[in-house]
Amino acid sequence: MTALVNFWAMIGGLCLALIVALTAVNVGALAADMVLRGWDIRVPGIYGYEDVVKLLASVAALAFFPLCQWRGGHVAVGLLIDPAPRWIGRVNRVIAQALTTGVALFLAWWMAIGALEVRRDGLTTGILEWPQWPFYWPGVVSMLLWALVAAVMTLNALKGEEAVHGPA
Amino acid sequence: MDPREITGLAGLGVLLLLILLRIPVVVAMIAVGLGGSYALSIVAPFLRFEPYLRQFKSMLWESMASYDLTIIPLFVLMGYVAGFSGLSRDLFDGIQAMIGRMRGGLAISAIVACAGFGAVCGSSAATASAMGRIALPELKKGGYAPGFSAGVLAAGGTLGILIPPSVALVIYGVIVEASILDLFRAAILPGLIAVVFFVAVIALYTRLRPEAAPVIPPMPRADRLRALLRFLPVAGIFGALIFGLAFGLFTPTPAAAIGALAVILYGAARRLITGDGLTWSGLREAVLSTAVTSGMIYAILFGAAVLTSFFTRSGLPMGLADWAATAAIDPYLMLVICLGCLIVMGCFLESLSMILVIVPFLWPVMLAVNGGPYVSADQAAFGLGPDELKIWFGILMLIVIELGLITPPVGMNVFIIGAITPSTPMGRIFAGASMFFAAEVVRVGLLILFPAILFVLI
Amino acid sequence: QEVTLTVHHFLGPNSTAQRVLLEPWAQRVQEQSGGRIAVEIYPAMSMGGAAPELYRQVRDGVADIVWTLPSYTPGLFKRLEVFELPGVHQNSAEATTLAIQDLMPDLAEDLQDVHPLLVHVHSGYVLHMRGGAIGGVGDLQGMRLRTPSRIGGWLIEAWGAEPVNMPVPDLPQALSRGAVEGALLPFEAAGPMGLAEITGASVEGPEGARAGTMVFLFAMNRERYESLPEDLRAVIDANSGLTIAAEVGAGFDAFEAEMAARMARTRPVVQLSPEAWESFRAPDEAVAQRWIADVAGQGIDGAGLIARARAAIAVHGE
Ligand code: NA
Ligand code: NA
Repeated sequence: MTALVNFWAMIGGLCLALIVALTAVNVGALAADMVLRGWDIRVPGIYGYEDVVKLLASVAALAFFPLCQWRGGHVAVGLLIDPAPRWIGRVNRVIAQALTTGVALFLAWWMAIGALEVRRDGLTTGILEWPQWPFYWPGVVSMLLWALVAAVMTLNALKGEEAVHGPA
Repeated sequence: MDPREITGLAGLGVLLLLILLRIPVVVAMIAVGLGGSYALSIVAPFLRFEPYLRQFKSMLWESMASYDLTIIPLFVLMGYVAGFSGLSRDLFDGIQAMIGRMRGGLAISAIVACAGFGAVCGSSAATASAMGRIALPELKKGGYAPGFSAGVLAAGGTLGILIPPSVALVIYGVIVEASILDLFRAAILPGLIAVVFFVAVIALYTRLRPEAAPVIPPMPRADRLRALLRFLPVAGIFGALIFGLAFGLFTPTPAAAIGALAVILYGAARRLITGDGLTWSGLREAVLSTAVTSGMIYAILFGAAVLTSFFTRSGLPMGLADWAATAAIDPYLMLVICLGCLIVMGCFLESLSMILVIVPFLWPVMLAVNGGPYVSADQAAFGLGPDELKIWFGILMLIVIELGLITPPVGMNVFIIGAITPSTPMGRIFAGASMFFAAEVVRVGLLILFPAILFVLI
Repeated sequence: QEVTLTVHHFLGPNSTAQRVLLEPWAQRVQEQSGGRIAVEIYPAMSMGGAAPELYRQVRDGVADIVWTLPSYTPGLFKRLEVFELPGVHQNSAEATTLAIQDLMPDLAEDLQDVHPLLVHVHSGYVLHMRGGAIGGVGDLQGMRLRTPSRIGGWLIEAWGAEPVNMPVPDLPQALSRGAVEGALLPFEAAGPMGLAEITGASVEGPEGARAGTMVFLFAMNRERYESLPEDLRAVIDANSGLTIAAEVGAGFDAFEAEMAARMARTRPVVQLSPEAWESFRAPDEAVAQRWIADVAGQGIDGAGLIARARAAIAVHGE
């Protein structure tokens, strides 16, 4: 499980790295343009830069959810439950994780319908006119993986195991 | 109150209950948003539930596919990479080499290093944990009292968000549609004032209780030189970012991307030249930590969007604003009440969820008591136009919410520092941090009386 | 009241759209229905979601009524784009909005999933330049300009500049930092955003000529409309399409003139010479051809639509 969620988060990290690289090139072009403008040389920026960043961001953001769940990174307030008897903490973990599974499945379900609809509508990005629907599916996978992680953690909580895996 | 507003109020109550029952905040937000919208469709049938559900086809994707929000993972990444490639150590060592010798010098160095780290890192938790890991062992070696040391770092960690860039300000800016760049610039001077106040608190405390902070022997000359040499490039990178933002050389997203790249390249260069610096496994762990932190932030942002659309449909925020506009309460009293509410709630809740849940209620109230969305500065109750009010209230709110990080019983920064030094009891850390609370209250008062401080750099 | 209709849109409560179109509309519908219809306006996406989702929200009934930009969902409204083509719109929001009503049968297929209340345009976009006035299209070479739409992007490209797509709220910041060097926007939108303070000049054609405009869609959920009793549907009908087109168009034109005058007080609003304006209009035909070829893929007779749109605008322009 750890390997799977790490791998999926690294895909998101890769998208982030692409955003960094694209931005660096774009800023470089902007700077070169400012300098060379005096000699009447114009340096173009990346065509449709914002379009690509948006698409990559959508993939990256959702790819982070499963790892965040696995490492117990989604914020929760333990004020009342933490000091309570162990069995209450355990029941609470089961309920919280099961509820998370449900929410993740709900989002995955609707997003999959959305992907089909966006494809049927032929929606594209503003400048590049790239289709949007292929960028929905990594998100659907992320939501399913989130649900899977939460389900596994529900089972673990039933067995009484600790909830958090690795540094948060 | 009509049935819709009562439904909204009930939803707020259930939300707080679920959060206190340790349900993950994002799950609680989505559950209340859905359940509340279902309840609304019963008390007000024109707010139909089945069509409402269909917006989830695109809402998640569209809220993630945002150019503006990419600044969050980028600043988080920059902070983690800086931590993993030893920049935070260089920062602390360099400052220590300069001022470590004075009384309380190590603690003061820690505060200044936290502030410096805050200039590249958008989150308090990341600042507290990165600087805590480096500075706490040094303070211990110097013979500083453990509770005092831990309290210093818990408070110093709040500078991560008080000094721009700040994830909390980005989120606030998104909610009230303020210029994020202006918010960052407005936060610079209050952030520096915080540093000065924190340093003053340490100086005062160590004068009164000299045994808590012994004077340490001077660093050997060679070590000192080496520390200063390593400090310079780090100060260069961090300084360039702050100045770039302050003087408008770049907009936030490119600044975040270039900053992350600069820190990665510096870490890699150090690895090639000196052998320490950023390793592959360090980079990998930095990316994974970024995934956890920004996954949490993105999730909670989406949860808040679901929740806010429920509250808007219930009419509760507008009702509250209408009430505030007509109620005969002194505007400044209203402001103090709002900030007081935030401080009290900050004792129990986590800061980002607080901004997302409470600001949609408080902002319309502040706007209303100031004289509405079209009021001009000379006729406004606070003497500020709506855009200035956004910035002023945003910074004030940020400070009091950050106070929640060091107040018991739920103080995230105290927990983080506590995890680094398990031998120090939580109560001692809270006590150590409590003296900074007074400095913060003074700072809030200063900014309420002199809003102009915020607009010097804009 | 027996029916409450929700209206959702992406601009603020002080926008031209809310003041000229949405609020008067809401008031009249409430009055003419004898209070049986209530209207709740939700500005600034406060019901949730992002602006590009508005059309899908009205199609699904998330909101009963929305006011949105068809160009937010590129790909869905190919026919409506005809009015955004350079050389079709002739500077008057009123004339083009009236012409759109004449062409509704031609556009119907784009709108079959919703009940359109009004398709309209603004007065046309003006170039707001950061560095001050420009003399001709040659001065735009390589510059980054913010585009309002897909067609606007094509036009900018044809001028030899670089189209940049960004959300409207980011524009003031991007302009003042020089991330873009200019933007295509009507005065009516640029004025309230404070562009007068951060741009050096606004540039329009001789006698205020405009290079193109933007199409807006004010539409109601179809099923919701059909579920209304007949007499209430009649109230809606009496406040849609042709009956309000002239008034809304004129409202936008009036606000446009007011804002142009206000922006001109801060810094120059330049009208190009007819010769310089020619250089801006040179690519009109090429952009139109590109569009004709693009929509031919969907089996749309682009050339025919352009001809009918021009003819209708010419009639109403007199
Ligand atoms: Na910061
Ligand atoms: Na607290």
